[in-house]
Amino acid sequence: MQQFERGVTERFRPEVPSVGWSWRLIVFSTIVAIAAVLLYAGMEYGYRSVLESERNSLEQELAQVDMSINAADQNNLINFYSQIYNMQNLLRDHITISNLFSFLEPNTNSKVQYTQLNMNLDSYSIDISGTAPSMDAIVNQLEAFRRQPMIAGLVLRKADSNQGGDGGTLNLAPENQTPASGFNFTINLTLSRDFFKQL
Amino acid sequence: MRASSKRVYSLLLSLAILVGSLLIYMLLITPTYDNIKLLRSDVANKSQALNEHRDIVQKTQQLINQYKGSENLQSTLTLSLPNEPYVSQIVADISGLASLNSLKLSGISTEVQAFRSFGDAPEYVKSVGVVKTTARAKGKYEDLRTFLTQLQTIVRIMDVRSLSISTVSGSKGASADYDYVFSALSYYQDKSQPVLQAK
Repeated sequence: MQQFERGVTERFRPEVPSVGWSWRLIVFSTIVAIAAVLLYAGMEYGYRSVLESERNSLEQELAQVDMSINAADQNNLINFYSQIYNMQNLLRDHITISNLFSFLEPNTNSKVQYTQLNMNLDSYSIDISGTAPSMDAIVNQLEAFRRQPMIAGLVLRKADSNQGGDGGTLNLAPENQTPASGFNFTINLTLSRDFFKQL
Repeated sequence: MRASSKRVYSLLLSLAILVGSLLIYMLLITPTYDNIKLLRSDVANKSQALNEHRDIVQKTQQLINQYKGSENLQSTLTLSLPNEPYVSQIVADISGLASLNSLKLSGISTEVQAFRSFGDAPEYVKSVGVVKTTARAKGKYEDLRTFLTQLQTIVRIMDVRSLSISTVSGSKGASADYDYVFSALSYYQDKSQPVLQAK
């Protein structure tokens, strides 16, 4: 038999470990390196280029769409829209100055006459100077103003005794009588912000 | 070369290749991937913007067609809120109304103030310029009342901001003359503001 022909030394020789280059390890690491290089090249020169091309195409299309409206028409439309928008806001805050007279005339005591009026809408305040035959008339006038919801503040700046009439008076109510003597007064009214809104 | 040396060199070579792969990943792949993520986001945004712009252009075109059919409204708006201070119109309006109401206009001055815009206005809405007009006049109270009532309802928007009424010395009774000083604000739309381009 063949197996009986081999020597004892050969049959019981210890297994010799494979020595030399470790090719499996080198091949594995090389495959990893090649995969990394390919991945990088694909991303940098493939996918990125495609995305950049797509972005440029979108930008061009966007510019074309934006230019599809005539610039003059666009400007006119913006101008028109701005006018409507601004008008809406201006009319919302529009001052109806006739409200001042509509307020003062029915709320002026028949014994009181005004000599001067200063209105300033920066502070929404009115200084009214006038004459009254008695302190009671001034008190009644102050009370008449105080009862009005459109008056936010009321101050009697002064009330001095005078010696007879002193010139013209502002005749808001035709039935008012010019007092021969009495008091000069100045009242300061602070108006509410809605005072001059359209009633 | 000894077998053990070959193994050591194999290990070192594999390690070097793996380290090289790691460096490729860290220094090339990761930044490229970040760039690609940004590009993809940019492309997605531009694509969305393109769709929105197409929609806007379509609606704008519809608005332009509507706007071209509303010429009467445009001319009325331009009278109320012109594209320039148009001071001559303001002076003519005040002077004409004063004359119509028997008020003697003794002085008038105008001052062009800074542009302003309403707080919540979209950025493409043009600013509003302000012309402050101060005038002095003399006349009867009823005439002033009618004058101011008409001034608040004329086509050009005017907001009376201050008013002083004082008696003319020596003038008494219901038909007395008074001195008036008032200031009014008129408005115009800024025409020089550039048209915003779509982003």
